[in-house]
Amino acid sequence: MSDHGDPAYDNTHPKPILAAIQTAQTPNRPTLPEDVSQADFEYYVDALNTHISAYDFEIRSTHHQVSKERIYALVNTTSDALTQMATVHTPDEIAFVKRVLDAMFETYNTQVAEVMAVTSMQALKCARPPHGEQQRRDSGNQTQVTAPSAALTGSQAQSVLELMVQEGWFELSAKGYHSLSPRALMELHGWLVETYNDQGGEDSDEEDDEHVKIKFCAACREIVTVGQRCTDLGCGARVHNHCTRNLWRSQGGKEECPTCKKAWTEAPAVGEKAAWQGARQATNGPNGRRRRSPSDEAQSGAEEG
Amino acid sequence: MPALGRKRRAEREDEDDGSPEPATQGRRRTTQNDNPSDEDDTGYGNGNGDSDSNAEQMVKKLVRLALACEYSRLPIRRQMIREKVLGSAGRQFKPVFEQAQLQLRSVFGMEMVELPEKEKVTLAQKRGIAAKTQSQSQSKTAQSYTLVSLLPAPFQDPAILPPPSIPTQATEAQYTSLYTLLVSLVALSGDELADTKMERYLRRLGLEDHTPIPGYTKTELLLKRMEKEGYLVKVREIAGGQGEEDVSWMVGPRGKVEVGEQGVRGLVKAVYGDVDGYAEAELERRVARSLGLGDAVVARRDDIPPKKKRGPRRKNGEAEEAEVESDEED
Repeated sequence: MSDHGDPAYDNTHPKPILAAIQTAQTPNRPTLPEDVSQADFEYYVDALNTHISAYDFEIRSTHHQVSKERIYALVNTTSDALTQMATVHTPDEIAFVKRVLDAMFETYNTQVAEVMAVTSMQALKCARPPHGEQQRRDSGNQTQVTAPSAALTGSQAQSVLELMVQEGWFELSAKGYHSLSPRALMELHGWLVETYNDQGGEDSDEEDDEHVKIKFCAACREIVTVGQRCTDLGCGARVHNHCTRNLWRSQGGKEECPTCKKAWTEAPAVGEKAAWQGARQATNGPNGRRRRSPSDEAQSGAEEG
Repeated sequence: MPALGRKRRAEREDEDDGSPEPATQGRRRTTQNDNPSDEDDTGYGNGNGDSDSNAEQMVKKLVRLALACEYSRLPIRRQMIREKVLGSAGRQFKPVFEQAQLQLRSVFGMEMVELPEKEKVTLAQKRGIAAKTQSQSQSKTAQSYTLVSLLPAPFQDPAILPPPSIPTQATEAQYTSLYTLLVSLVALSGDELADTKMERYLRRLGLEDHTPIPGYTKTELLLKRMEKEGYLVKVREIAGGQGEEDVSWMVGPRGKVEVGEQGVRGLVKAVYGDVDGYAEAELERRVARSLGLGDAVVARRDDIPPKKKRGPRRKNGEAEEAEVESDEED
């Protein structure tokens, strides 16, 4: 993650770093950034992973949801008591961030509109813990009870939000939507699935009961937070915008849904577009009009509030 | 409202919760009895395969613990190791520790270094020592450790090792430069800097009230953080008939290990810029004298002590204005 406006520390590209490392190793034969190849880089990554995997660390890579840029990050593959100390944020701030993630992946991620992003306003509404969230209900073996988390003030929440962007966990789009960065998606991959896809009937009569919240691209298998979806809103097929060509190619050129075979035309958007463009024409809804579900009502109600 | 119960969280009272990370079931073992006799640690007691894999697990945990602590600038306390890593296997401290050191060195290029105990300087503290038995007040075994980088000097280049993004590189760079500066000021004053002098220096640096570090914009808060992290120590001594308080600053344990003499020298050199020949020798002599090293030890030592792990010892805007002078010129 480059620090904005601080050119001295732009270390987002591996070539200069590897060149500097190799030069330090053999100063008589300095290496230039252009001498460093993708293969060199991958060699380093593989060598590192061989050694650090024993400690539950891994360098993973993924593609940016929009730009398709390949991003690498060192992630912690298990979260445990030991590494939970490694944070610059207080427990209350972390609790706030988790509520923002809930907003991203539950509140603003419905069958009609899979936004998976929140505006600042929507995020700031999470500053206070919801009513009645006293002790967390702990399942399973953990018998300890966590203290209820304190509310953050508006300005505290705002600054945590900004820090999340600066630290590289969130990305802020031109239209003001916060979404998870590639780095965050890599680090939180397992947790996202475990947390949001495990509905297990605990919810009562939410219409999202059957809705799988975290979905994967039919082409590249990575999480989709920005992309396209099947015109049938009930179908779970998703694909990144930059993966469609590969998908069609793998289907012999047929531009149809890999799951239900419906024609893949004017596919509704996944991501913030779903919020401000509205869910497009769906096979089971009035043309061009956005179907309003209870959470949509709440969403727009909140925005007007 | 979505049910939050399904998000399992391991409880943690005394530590920070993770960064947006899954709080899966913690593998934290409840500690049974703390083994009080750590001093006579033997090697692995039994030789069966079970204890070997347990030992491996413990070593891995210790490595992860050390890295996590370093991230937050927490000292790795022996107590913490016993609780979080060894659990009931308290007798295994030494072998686990040594094995972890080997792995930290070979895989991560770091090692754990003892943090010196805080010195007992005030009268009250010294009286406290006299009253207690020696084993209680100053244990011979180290109580805490910190990670230190073993990377050779050519690799300690900002192009290779920029300041870590904790939370951002810019913030980390600012913090590093400030504590390096303040530690150097204290060290060059013979490791004891009266609070009045400290305030004067801070005023010269434009830091008497506010600092540029986000989250620690009040100077008081920043100094508290430096104390908490072990860079500085604030010493309060009741002196004089009226019971007035003399406040002074000393270099804290982490300041000694992370910044150390090398860091101070580096800063002075950076501020003075390129000098050679006679001027360089003269500067070295003055630095050595200020650090209380005596004229005999002027040349840079070749047995390079562990280097500071974080970031380059760069000066930034603030440091350039610092005048690192001895007391007479104050």
